[in-house]
Amino acid sequence: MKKLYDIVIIGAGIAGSAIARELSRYDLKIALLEKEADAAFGVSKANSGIVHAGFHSAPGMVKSRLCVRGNYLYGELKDELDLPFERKGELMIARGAEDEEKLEFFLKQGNQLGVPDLKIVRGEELRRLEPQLSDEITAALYAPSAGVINPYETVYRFVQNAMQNGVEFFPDSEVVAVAEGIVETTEQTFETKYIINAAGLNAAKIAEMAGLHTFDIKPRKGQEYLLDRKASALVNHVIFPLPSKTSKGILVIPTLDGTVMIGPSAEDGRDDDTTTNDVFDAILASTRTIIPSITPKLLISAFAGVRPVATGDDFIIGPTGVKGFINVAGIQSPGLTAAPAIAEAVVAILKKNGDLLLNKKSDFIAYVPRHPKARTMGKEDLSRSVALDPHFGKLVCRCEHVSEAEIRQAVREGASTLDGIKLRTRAGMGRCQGGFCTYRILEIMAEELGVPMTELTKKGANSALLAKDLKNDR
Amino acid sequence: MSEQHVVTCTVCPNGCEITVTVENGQAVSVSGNRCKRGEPYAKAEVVNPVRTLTALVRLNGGECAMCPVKTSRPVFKKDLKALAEKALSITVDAPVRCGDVLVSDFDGNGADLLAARSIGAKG
Amino acid sequence: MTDKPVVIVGGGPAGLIAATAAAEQGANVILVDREKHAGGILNQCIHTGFGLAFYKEELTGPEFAERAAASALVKGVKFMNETSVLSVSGKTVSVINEHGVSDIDAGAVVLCTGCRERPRGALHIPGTRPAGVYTAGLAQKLVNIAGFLPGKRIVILGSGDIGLIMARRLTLEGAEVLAVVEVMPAPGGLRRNIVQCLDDFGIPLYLSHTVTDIRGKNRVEGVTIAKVDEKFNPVEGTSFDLDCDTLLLSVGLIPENEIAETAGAEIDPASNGMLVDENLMTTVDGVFGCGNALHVHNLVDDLAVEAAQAGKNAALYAAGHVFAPCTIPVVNDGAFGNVVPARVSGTQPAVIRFRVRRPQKGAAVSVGTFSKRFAHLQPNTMESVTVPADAFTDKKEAVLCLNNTL
Repeated sequence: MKKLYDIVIIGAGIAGSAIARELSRYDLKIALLEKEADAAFGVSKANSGIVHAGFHSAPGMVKSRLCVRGNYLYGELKDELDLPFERKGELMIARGAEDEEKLEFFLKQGNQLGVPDLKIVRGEELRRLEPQLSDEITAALYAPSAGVINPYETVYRFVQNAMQNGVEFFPDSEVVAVAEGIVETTEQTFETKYIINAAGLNAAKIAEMAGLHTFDIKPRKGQEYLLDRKASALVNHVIFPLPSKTSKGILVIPTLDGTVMIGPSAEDGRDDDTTTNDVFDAILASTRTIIPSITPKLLISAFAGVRPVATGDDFIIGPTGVKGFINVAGIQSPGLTAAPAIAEAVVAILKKNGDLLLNKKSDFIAYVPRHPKARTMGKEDLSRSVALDPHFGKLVCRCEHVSEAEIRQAVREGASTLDGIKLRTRAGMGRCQGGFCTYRILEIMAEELGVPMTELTKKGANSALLAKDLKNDR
Repeated sequence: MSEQHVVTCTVCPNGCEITVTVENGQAVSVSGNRCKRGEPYAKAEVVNPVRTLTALVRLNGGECAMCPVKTSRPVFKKDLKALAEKALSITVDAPVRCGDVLVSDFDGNGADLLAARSIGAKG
Repeated sequence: MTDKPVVIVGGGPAGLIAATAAAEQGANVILVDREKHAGGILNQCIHTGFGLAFYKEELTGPEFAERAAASALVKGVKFMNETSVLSVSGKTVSVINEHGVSDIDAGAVVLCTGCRERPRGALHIPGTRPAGVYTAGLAQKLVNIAGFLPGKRIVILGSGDIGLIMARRLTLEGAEVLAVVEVMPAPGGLRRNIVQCLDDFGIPLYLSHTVTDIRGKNRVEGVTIAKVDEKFNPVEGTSFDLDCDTLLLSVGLIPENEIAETAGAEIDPASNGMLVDENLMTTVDGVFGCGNALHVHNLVDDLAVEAAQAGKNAALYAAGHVFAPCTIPVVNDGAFGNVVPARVSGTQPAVIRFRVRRPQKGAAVSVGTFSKRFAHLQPNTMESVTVPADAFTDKKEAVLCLNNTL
């Protein structure tokens, strides 16, 4: 069966979902394809969640401009999509005179790019901002516009709002063939005027399917370690060392959820999600040179993500030799920050081509409040929510205070796996890491989805959670 | 002819190391036990060891899918796996009361299978 | 003085017994529990080994829970089931359930919040993140309550009691347990559980070994196991692979004190347990703590004694009793893993519970002028001494000392 579309977007990560949401403003028939069981299950799942100020990369690069613009746009999106986003500010630190000269360089570069309110802070002022900072640190470049965001929640907000505005989302749909105007998945064939290749780590593979051999994607793995909420008392800003050639270095990140993340490593050529002890030791040692009071006892979880690094180290955004095929590739850091600006750039490309009618919908839904969360509600709001839906009165995840109502809502919004529930609601992300609540979540999922418990998975195909039903299996 | 066996008592959490003297296939004396309940356990342990089985049976129409069960007295250790499998093949209807005899003479040697939790009917 | 209720937080064994003891003092007692049925984790502990000291009978976990709940009910304890505590502030307990959020103005509060299992993240086991890595307690709930096998070929990391018990349970329900792997040179669980859960079924126990890698992209496909040296680092050339679909973790329990933290009760950073005085009162006036939320017990029977003391004292407090000030800090001489309580008054006999750091043969434990000899002391076993009031001769501090008497 063939379906006729205006635009098919390949990949529901941060870039693909931001593009889908932006394009959903227009009167177009759009499909968003994802090879995994849920959106954000690729590169975006293991992102540090920083909305960078944008002073890091050289003015000539594509990503520099998009980063600063993206940072600005998150201010608007915060209101429109009720995104959890907080401008905590960034500090790039220096130890001694030689380092401080480099801060001056980044200050100048940032000013040139239009990063707002940059300044170098020292002494008392610096300690006031960050009291636990190591004594060896003499100065820092302070960028108050930087912030933190929840990366996967942002993806889900984009996808959900895009769907409200008519975009069709196809999870579990791996693309197997691409030609001019045709996208074939494991499930079906799409006929389309435009194809947007936002396939993350697989972007080069998708381009090759279309006959394009213009770039390559190399994986660069990053391990990150999550610390208990107790650590949040130790750090107020996103803190960077001076960057190296391959990465922004080992960061200390106070997350939106009140935990602290340290990392990432930068391991070229690795595309697996394993974590290793030597890298943990190195990350911890590096972190302790910034905030000495961080100890290994605070560790609650470890994970690893892979950045898609394109040839040339920059974003590759633009039309190609294949008619209607647009690349959005190599979206590594600062891809999360840039995503809303990348979406704008894609609209500009379509406008320039001029063969697609871009009429704004009159009924576009721009403002969408988030569903309430028990964890962030005051007692009175919580009581009101319980009166409307008694499921709010049952806390399923005790560590993160996630109610049964939120779990059910997540399933209704499309979460079909345990990881999907976890990323959408935070259930299972706290101190016990799901030890207490996993079984109850599985029960609720089975009920909402109408499937037997043994069919439930952690993250889609071949990741079944239970091996045998003692009551019903022989 | 006498021989000595050392067994770890599992009757209670003390875990006493008990020495059993066996003569002509009969356990004649024990030492090292901190309480008198260790004696019959240790003697049986060297001749034909026994254990209380705890397992699950399927529950029909109950608030839980399964009902925990135990044997009214220890059964032969060598039979544990087969008896657990046998328990799992049994379905009982809710409600059940803790202590209910679900199967009498469950092991063929006089041990009954008892419900070990009261579970109400669903709804 | 008042008829304000004694509020018990948690309906596990500690909560049930504390509630009963408080009700026996004539207090109006409310027990708040998140579950539909009281009993806490005992309901999933379907093995025997409970109640020998407390009920003079060997019971399974659910049987113990049922008895404890029945006693509480008979004594007039009011149960607030399917209710979570959001916070405790002063002696006001904020709760949420299907009817909304409400505040209970308590005369005294007893925190019986139990403990949680140490998860994979806190251990930092390297490797992939597939389905099939579970804590032993979650597996216990999946099998014993829900009736599901989490996997068919299972490796267990850690020889804590729950892991050992699960090795037997999974074997009896038809799974294959390939190995139990313990990083320490001695098992973490009780000796009897090694015998009746592993030896009875021929399950190998690898002491001084650990899991160095987890394989499998979507579901666990195998683990790598290696011997470790005295510093717990893997020894090169000793590693071997086991193909399995599940890794269970039984690597320790941590007191669960998120509610105590909302109350502002001081927490011992070493044990994560609440700091209490000889009356089991926390550093917050009128808020008491007991059970595994204080320190993880080996036996429910010992825990019951402590819980009864906490419940009784909470009732006395609510009725206006003023306890002698506990001004003497109890100091650990360094030989003990943890010591409870943190402060004593020196005016009444005090029960001091402790665990040693290293195994001891023939050692004396002393405080002030009091001393007691122990034939054996094991780090995995909690012990206690009851110290008479007049033994606390030094009013500045009471040092708990371990002296080798051999």
